[in-house]
Amino acid sequence: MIGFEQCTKHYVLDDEERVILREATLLFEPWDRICILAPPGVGKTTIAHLLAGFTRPTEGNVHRSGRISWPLGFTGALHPSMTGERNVEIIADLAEAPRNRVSAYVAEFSELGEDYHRKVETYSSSMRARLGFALSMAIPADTYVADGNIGTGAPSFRTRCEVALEQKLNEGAGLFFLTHSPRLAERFGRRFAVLQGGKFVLTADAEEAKGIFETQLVEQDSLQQLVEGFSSE
Amino acid sequence: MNDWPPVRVLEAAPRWLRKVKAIILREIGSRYTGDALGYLWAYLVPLAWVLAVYVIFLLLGRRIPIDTDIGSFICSGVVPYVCSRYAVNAILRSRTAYRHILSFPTVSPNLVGGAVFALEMVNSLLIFGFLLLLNYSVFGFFEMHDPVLALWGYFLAVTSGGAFGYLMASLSTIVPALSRATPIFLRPLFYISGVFYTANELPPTLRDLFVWNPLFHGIEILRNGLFIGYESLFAMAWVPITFILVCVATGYIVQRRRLSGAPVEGDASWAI
Repeated sequence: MIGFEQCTKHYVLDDEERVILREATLLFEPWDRICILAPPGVGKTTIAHLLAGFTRPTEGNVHRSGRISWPLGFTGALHPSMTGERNVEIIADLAEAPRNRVSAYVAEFSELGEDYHRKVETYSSSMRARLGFALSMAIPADTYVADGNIGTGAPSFRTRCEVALEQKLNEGAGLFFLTHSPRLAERFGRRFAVLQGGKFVLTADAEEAKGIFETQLVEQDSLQQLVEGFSSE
Repeated sequence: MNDWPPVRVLEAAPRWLRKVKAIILREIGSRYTGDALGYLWAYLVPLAWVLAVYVIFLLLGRRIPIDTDIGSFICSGVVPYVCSRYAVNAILRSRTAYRHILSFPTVSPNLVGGAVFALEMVNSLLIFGFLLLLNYSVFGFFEMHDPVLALWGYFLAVTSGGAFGYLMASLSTIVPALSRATPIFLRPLFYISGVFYTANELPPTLRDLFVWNPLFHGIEILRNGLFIGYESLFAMAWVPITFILVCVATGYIVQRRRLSGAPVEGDASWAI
C-alpha cells in the first residue's frame, strides 16, 4: 500500500499558518486510480509533492514504494543551463530507464524539434512544460501523480497528453490525481475522494464526490461573499 | 548462482557507474554552467585566495617558515583549505539540488553524495596541480619531495571536508538550520588549520588546541610530502582518519533513521 497515514502538513506563509492535511489517511494500492476533488488554493500541489517524495509531512507518514512518478509535467528538476536532451538523458540514467529510448520518445512526444538540443534556459514556458510532460510519460512508473490538469499547452497537445496517460493506465499503471475538475476526475479515476477540512473523504462513486465537492464550492463562495461584504462595509 | 552477492554486485556495477556518471555530468553542466568560463571560475577562486594571502604576507612582512618559495608555501596551505570547503559546500548543496531526483527509488543520498565528492576530489587535485604548475611557469619554483605522501595529505584534507559535509547534510535532515549554519563552523578553520604557518612554529598552548583539527594534520602531511626541507613534528594521520570515519558512520546512521524509525521493508519514504 502507498499513500498517507495520519499525515499532517502545515507551513507558515506571510505569518499565517496554512494547514494542508490534518491527520489525514488515504492508503491505496499502487495500481489504483484515485482522484481527489479539491477546490483551488487548498494545497493540491503540496499533497502531490508529498506523494512524489519532494517534501516530508509535518507529522505522520507518507508511504511510497515502487516507482511513483513526479507530478505530471513537472519541470523543476530540469537544469536551465543544460540542453533538453542532456537533461532527459541524465534523468533517464538516474531512473535506470533506457536512455536512448526515453530520449527518442521525449524528442518525438514534446514536438520540440531542433530546440530539444538547445539549452532549457532558451525555452518558452510552454516548451518547458511540453518537455516536462513528455519526460513524465517516458520514465516508467507504477503510479502516476497528477496535479490540477492532465497535459499542458494547446488543446491538441493536451489531448495527446490525455491519450498517452490513458494508455499507461490501461497497461496497468495507477494514478493519484488531485483536481478541481469533476469531468477529468470521472474520466481518469476509478476511486474518488474529496479533500475536506484537511482530510481525505472517500466516496462510493464519482457522483457522490462531485456532490460533496460542489457543496464545498458553494460554501466557499458564500463565505467569500460574506468576507467581501464585511470588507466593503 | 545469480543470488551470490559478488555476482549481484557485478551485475549492479554498470548501472551504478552509469548513475555516478549522470550525477557528475549534471554537476558539471549545472554548477559550472557548462561553459569554459564556468570551468575557469573553479580555478580562479583558489588563485584569488592564494593571491590574497600572498598580499597579506607582503603587507605584514612575514617570512615563510619553510625553506621554500612563497608561492609553493601558500599553495600548500590555502588550496587544501579552499578545496576542503568546496567539498563541504558541494555535499551540503547536493541535498537540495537533488531533492527531486532523490524521489527515484534508484537514487540514494549516499550515491549522490559519493558522486559529488568524487568529482570534487578530482577537481581539487586539478586545481592544486594547476596552481603548482602556474607557480613553476611564472616564478620557476616547483617542489614535490614525496608525491605519494603529498597526495595522501591532500586526500586527507579534502576528505575531511567531504566527511564533515556529509555529516552536516545528514544532521540537517533533522535540524534544517544546520546546513545554513555550517559556514559558521568553517570560518575559523582558515585561522586554525596552518594555512599560513606551520605546526612546528606554534607555541605549545596553541598547538595542543589545534592538534584536534583534522585539516591541520592533512595540511602538515601534505607539506611533509611537498617540501624536502620540512618535516612536521606533529602531523598524525590517525586524527583525520578517525574524524572521517566518525563523520561518515554518524552521518550514515542518521541518514538511515532520520524519519520515524527504521525504514519499513519496501517503503521508500525514509529516503525523502
